[in-house]
Amino acid sequence: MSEENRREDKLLGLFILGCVLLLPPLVGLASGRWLQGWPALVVYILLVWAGIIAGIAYVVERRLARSRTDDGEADG
Amino acid sequence: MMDTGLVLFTSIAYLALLFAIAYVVDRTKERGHGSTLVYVLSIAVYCTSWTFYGSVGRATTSGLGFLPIYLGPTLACCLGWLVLRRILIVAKANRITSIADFIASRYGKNPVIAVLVTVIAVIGSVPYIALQLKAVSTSFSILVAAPNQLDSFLPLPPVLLDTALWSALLLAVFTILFGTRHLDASEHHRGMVAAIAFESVVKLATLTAVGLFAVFGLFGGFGDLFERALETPALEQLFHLDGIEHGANWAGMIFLALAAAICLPRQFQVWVIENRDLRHLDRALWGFPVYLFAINLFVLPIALAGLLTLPRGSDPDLFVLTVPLAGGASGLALAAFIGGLSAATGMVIVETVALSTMVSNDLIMPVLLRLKAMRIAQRADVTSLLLSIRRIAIIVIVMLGYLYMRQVGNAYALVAIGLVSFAAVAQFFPAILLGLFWPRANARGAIVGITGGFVVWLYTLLLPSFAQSGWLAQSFITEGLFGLWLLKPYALLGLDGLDPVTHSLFWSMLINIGGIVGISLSTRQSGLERAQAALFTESGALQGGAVRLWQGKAPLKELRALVGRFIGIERAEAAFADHLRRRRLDPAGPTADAELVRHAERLLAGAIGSASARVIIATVAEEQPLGLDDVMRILEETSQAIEYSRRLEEKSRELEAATNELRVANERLKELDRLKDDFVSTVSHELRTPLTSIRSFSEILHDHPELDDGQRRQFLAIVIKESERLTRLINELLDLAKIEAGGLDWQMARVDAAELVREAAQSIGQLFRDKGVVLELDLPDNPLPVEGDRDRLMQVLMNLLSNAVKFSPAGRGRVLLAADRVGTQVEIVVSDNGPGIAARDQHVIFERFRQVGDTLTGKPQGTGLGLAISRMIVEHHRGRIRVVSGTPGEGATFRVTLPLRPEVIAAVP
Amino acid sequence: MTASVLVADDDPNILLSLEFLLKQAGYAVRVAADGEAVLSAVREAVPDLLLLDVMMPKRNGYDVCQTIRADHGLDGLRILMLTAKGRDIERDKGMALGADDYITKPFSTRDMLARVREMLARPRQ
Repeated sequence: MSEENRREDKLLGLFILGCVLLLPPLVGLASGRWLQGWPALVVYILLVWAGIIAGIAYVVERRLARSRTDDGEADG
Repeated sequence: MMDTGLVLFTSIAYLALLFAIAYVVDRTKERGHGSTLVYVLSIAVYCTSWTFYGSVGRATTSGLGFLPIYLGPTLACCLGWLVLRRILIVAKANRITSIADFIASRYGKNPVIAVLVTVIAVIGSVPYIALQLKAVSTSFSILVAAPNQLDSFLPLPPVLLDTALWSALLLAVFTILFGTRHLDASEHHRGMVAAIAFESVVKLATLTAVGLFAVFGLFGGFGDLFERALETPALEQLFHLDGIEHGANWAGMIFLALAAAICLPRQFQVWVIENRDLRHLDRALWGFPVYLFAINLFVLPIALAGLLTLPRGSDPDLFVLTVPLAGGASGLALAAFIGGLSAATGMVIVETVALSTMVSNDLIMPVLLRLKAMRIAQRADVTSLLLSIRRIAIIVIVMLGYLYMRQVGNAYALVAIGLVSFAAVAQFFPAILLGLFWPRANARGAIVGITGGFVVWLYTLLLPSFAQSGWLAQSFITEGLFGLWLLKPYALLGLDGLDPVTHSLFWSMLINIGGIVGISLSTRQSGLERAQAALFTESGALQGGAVRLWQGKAPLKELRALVGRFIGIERAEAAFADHLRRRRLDPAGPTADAELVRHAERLLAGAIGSASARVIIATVAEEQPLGLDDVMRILEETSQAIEYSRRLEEKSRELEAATNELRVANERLKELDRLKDDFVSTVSHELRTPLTSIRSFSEILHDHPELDDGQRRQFLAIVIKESERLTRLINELLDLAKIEAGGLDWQMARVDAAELVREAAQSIGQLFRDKGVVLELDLPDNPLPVEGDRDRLMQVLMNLLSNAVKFSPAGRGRVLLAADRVGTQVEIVVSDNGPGIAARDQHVIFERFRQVGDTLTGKPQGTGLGLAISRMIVEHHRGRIRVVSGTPGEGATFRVTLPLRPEVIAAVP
Repeated sequence: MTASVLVADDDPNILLSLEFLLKQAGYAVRVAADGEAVLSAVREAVPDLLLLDVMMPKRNGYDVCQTIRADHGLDGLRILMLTAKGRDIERDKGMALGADDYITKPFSTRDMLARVREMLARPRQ
């Protein structure tokens, strides 16, 4: 149960991190800037977005991997 | 310009393919729990034609402004385990059929809430459906119109020639075929979900294809495209996200999309209702955001390409079509059209299936059930009635969408329409979230909150949309209701600067959350509400869902027949048989117990929703209403269960210790049992021995009259002596039992120990003289007052003195009897010069029947209880009795200490 | 020839009564007050029957019984056990250790004499 809660908390942490990075004022920092012909705002948001998705995938897949070794059987 | 026939044919062929997929999947035998991938792709029904066409449109005016709609759901996935997982577990345990059912169920299966949520969902979804119809019809007209016709602002065609009408009807028929071919208690539409998943693939593939064409076909890659955009000041503006107002709108959109990703009826349908295995959710939590990420990659490039290549005035909402068209790639444009069609049909099908379930279960059925004339519960087959209601509901909803589109939609951009819908369903979010985590949130609060939020939404978003389309006076927006500036719908109380959606969201959430919290804090919950709240909020109860709600019983036959009318006789029979077999109950039994009734209610809830199921079951079950006591018990049980599981770990540790304790206690018990057994056996022995002599000599005397006088007297003396021994034994046993049981009547008083000792010496003097044993007395002059029972203390002294004389050698024995004060105690000493007591025996002589005699001469006289009784008496006086014996043959010394009376201690320092 | 009986009991009064009764019945009676005395008396001259009390100092009746039964030279000695402890288990234990019969105290003197007579009438298997 406590293990479950810890994983829930990891995702919650990701949520808070996402809110901080994707909401003003941080998101506004990249506004209007260009990096060698690429819009910084677009690059920034896409990177953060991909990062969050990777974070979710990491937390979820680790749990799945663990529960699978626990069960000893693959899910359908 | 494309051939109308070709476009039509392709569209129809595509829809036929979809249907074929659904049909085949429905027909194949169900194996396992379906695939995770299909589940993830079906959730992508979130991306409608609004995404497909509208995102590009929005990107042309606000740059990245379309992104919050997809960042929100990503953040919602971060809350997946916290929120979605809980919703899924509760929904599965309670056979929830829709979001209305879920919210109503949380708030005590409140039918008003079910109706409220259904109505809001329908009203909120109609513009959204309109948007899909508009997208299909305009994209169709663009495709078949002249190549220079890049504007969608066409004059409205007559109704019967309107492609939107025909596509609406076609979609309605399709939805009916997909979603209401049969009634499923689990509300799983496997075929539909498979078709939706396929559509998601088509959407992504076609939009990506258009994007690749725009970036690499029309331009030399991303770098080239961005470079060209940077050169154009109007486009450069798109890469800004400045200012507090922009920031507020951006944040508002993210929150709105987060809420909508869960609360949209179709999202709830695919996330929750169509979920067939809880484990699928885990992977969907990142799979769905990956899809969103992928489908949005090319939105901005297509927008930029459209702005750079197409003439001014082109409708940006249709760039996905017009960019390839203008680029000469008409095949790609047709593919894009199919992609858009996919997005639109997917949305309409799932949305109307979800809405029709809500309308039939939560709106129409409760009304029909209350109409006595319909006698619904008595009808033979309600399944067909239910299906008919749903089919009609689908047609009505789609037609409402068409009407909205025709009357209002043309004036509005796609994105704006979608956001209006988002803001409507977001009104459910507080009730769901608070409902999951705050047990006190109650039905009244939910009703007030949802209604309040909805009214604000109506006033600040829907009515202005009517005004913009000319249904209402434009002054409603510019001057406010009755010309009051405080009531301007886009700037309520003068709050302006926000975009209309964020503005509406702010006010409606304020009223909504404030209403739920405020009313919940100031009103009470009913019993059922409290029980349901516990069920939804207690994570311990989540797994089991075993809270007992039905207290009543019902006739088994009637119950089975009743459920059969709703879900089909065969299915009902199978479900009942299965349940009875699992619980090893008699299938022919006359009544269904509370658990079976609840099972039946869940079965029914799967078909018609929980609120209606409750009403139906009530027609056959005699329910004892949930009293406060029951609720308290349920809550107690629930919290006990949680407490129990919380403590389980602790318990298992304690268990080990307890086992040890138990073993020790058990051994002690066994020991006690053995001791008791030994005691009884010993008492038996001690009683039988004198009795044997008495009987033997009595019989001898009786049978041998010839005995001489001397012998006769000897034998009679033995009988008398043994009788005395027996009497003494019995008395002492009774004493012992009384003292042990605490039943002895102690006559506590001030006793002078010196006086007592003197008396004892006097009364036992004869015994000493008979045996020729000297008794020396050593007493102080002053009294030695103690608190005690005079007779009992005398008993102790007599016991010690008689033991002393018994063990003293005849003729030369000497016994010392002394008493004196030692500190705060009185000490009485009885010392003899007999054989003494071996060190190993010194602690056992005070136990019952433990005599230590001269083993050479056989056992000593006496009962073996004297010292045991003495010890008990002394201990009752808070004193101690000890024996000291040095080398063998040196005699034994018994010391009795008793506390002095307190006033003596105080008086004499 | 008069049969010889050895009576063993630690209670002098019981011993006295048994001695009197058996002498009256015409047996040659010897007495012993503890386990060791019993064994030395038996070694001195083997009696036909031993009336053996269980609760005796030094060596109790069971002990004595077991010792006698271990000596095959004493196979002809009949043992009648006496005990004041009334539990079945005491009787079973005595019989298991080789006693031929068993009497619980207090007993009917006639009954006791009848048993003694009966036992002495048959040789021990």
